[in-house]
Amino acid sequence: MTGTFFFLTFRTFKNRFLYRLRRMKEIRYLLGAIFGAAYFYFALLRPGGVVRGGPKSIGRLPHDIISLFVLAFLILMWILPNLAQIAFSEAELHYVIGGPVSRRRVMVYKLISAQIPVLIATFFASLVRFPTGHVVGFWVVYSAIACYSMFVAIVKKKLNELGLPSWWITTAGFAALIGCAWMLMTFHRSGRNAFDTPILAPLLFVPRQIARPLFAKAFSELAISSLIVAAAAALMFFLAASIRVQFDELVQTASERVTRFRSRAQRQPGASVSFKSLRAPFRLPANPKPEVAILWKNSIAVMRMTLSSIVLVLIFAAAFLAGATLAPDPGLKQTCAGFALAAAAIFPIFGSMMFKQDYRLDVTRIDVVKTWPIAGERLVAAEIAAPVIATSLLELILLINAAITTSVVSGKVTQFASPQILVIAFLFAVPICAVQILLRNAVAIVFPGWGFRTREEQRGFIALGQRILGMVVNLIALNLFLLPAAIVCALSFWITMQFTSGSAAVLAALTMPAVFVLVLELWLFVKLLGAQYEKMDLGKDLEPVAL
Amino acid sequence: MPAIEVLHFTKKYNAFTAVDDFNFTVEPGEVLGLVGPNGAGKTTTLRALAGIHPPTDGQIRIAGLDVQQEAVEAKRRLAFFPDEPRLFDYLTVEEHLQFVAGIYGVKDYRPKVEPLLEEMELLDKRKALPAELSRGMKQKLMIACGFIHDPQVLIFDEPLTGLDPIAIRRMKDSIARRAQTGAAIVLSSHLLYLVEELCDTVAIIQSGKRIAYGRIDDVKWKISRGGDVTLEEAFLRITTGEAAPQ
Repeated sequence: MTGTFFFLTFRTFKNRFLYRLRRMKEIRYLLGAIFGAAYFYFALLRPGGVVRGGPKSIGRLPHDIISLFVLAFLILMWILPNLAQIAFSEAELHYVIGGPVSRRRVMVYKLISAQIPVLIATFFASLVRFPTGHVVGFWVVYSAIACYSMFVAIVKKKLNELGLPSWWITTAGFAALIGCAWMLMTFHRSGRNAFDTPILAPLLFVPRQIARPLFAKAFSELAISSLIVAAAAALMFFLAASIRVQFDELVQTASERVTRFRSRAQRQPGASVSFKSLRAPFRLPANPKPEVAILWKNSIAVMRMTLSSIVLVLIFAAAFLAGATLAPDPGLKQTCAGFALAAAAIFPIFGSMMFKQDYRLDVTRIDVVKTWPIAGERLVAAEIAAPVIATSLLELILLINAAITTSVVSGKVTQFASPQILVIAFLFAVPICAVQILLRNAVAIVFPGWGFRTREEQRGFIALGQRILGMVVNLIALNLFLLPAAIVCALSFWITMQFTSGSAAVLAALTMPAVFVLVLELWLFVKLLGAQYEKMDLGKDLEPVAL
Repeated sequence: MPAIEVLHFTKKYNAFTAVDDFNFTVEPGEVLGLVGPNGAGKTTTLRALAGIHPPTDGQIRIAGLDVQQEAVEAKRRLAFFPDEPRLFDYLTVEEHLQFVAGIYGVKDYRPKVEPLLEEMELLDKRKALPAELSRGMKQKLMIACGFIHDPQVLIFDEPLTGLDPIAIRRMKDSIARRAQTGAAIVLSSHLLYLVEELCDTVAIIQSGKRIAYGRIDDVKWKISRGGDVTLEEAFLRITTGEAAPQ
């Protein structure tokens, strides 16, 4: 039976690896892999990178701090739902749990299947040159924690079955956690080494032993400490296996909750309904045009899916304003004003990711969208209207906020908020938001098969590389888009500064041609995307199987 | 003039030919059943009829309008019902109907909403989101959305999947009623006894090629060489090679 479990675990890993390798034949995955690998190299592995060289020497304090984290982690296991070690996939539930397999063997299977992520993490740890002792120690500690997690889940279930409500256990866990934090703070304030006090030292004894394999300096120490941790893990495993509980029920509930949680986490922000009862921002006329109907639909989606994000942005804006006006420290005032300016500057990009209630959301129902009786360019324009309005409104609020906050502070930050710059920013705010949202939609129209379709596709460094690549291409396209208007605008700016001493009113008038250039580009791009939408062959772009 | 004309329709995905030189017509008030084994090319054909897939070769006309060249006008006259209900997570049942009425430019749609919700037994769910509906209810909502603009052509891909027996009976009545009022209907289904009961004509497709086409009784008669067989028996004979393509 154990052999079957090993076969299942490692064959699954092998098949997944080969599947990802085969996907490289498609250019998007290949590019994603290249960019993902480059990111890992430059972020982690290159000379001078974040972790290259690893910890040279580990003193007493890091061990104490890690022990403290381990203690907190051990307590948190009792507070948090702690389901991962007893949750199974649908196939596992059907074939492993539903099969003639004892509970102990199921637990063994879970431990075996946990080995793949441990080994991958260990591999990366060795890549970043952790001393070998730490790598082996990491593997031992992680496996022990998996056993402990299983043990806690089963004990909690047993306590529930004995009539102890879950909230009692959670409250006790919180009390223990707060108690530890309070002791630490008290000892720290008194100037004593908290870790050596008679109360905290015994409390940290077990966590220290668990963390010891991570810090072993010699092979003998590593061997002994690992054996101790492994023995403790084995004890917990056998205890967990022998406690009488409704194990199948526990596993079933945990699996369902984990599946629900993962499907929620899988959804991208702004793609799920949070405020069902919010009404449409306007009433659909009795005889609406198709464009108006699409705007109406998407504006409902914006309201119901992103209201919390809108409120969050406004809270941040208000906080920056309050900080700039009320903070006693001039430095803090300037920082708040700087943040307000930065928020206004980056929001068109951030907003296009926040408000995606347009073609990007509809692309999942493309076989219905394609039957709508509306020409391509009109559909594209109608689809982006609601997010453009929402992003532009927020952007204008952020710009006003930035103008106010910078006007009440002094220092360098005010240079970036001169009346001339603000005039240009206000005039360009709406078209830039529209350009950015249109660019995001362009990807969905030109490359409809490039979106992440499964959870498997969203994971790993290839997906990370695809995201980085997407962002790089987006920024380049945005700059290219803005270039003609920027040239015209620079000319207007020069004329204004040269001949009218920088009059904001004259600059506003002279900036209009640049805005017109941008709007013209937008119009042409909408027409282009509309034509592309009309000739899109879904069977070819998305593969017949995807539809 | 036929409501649907499919002339030498061919669809290729790179080197793979999904449908090859397919021809048929559907008159107003006629119900055509499109049947075939899995992967025969039924869904590809239905999607091409709806303007989702452009044909690689051939022509498709809806009410005399080329579905590629005069796409907007052609699409205004049809309703496509995919096998899986594709609904908007953020719109309620009632809002779905309002939106679809808007997109198809239905003049004064409001009086139509109530009877449709009643016909589909969704009156008490009008404020519900799709997440609050069962699979069958979602299917009914999708069908109600397709009916709101009184299309001349209705294209159903497995319309009865996920419905309970009572709902199947009601759906059959709804489809038959639309045909009686002059709508041309194409539906694909693996439930051959339902196809036999509901359709006037049948087209059997296998590996992208039409292997039988005509009035159901004629097709059965030809396949069984004058015998008295069900559509299911006739289908099995022709798709397993017992009978020659017609």
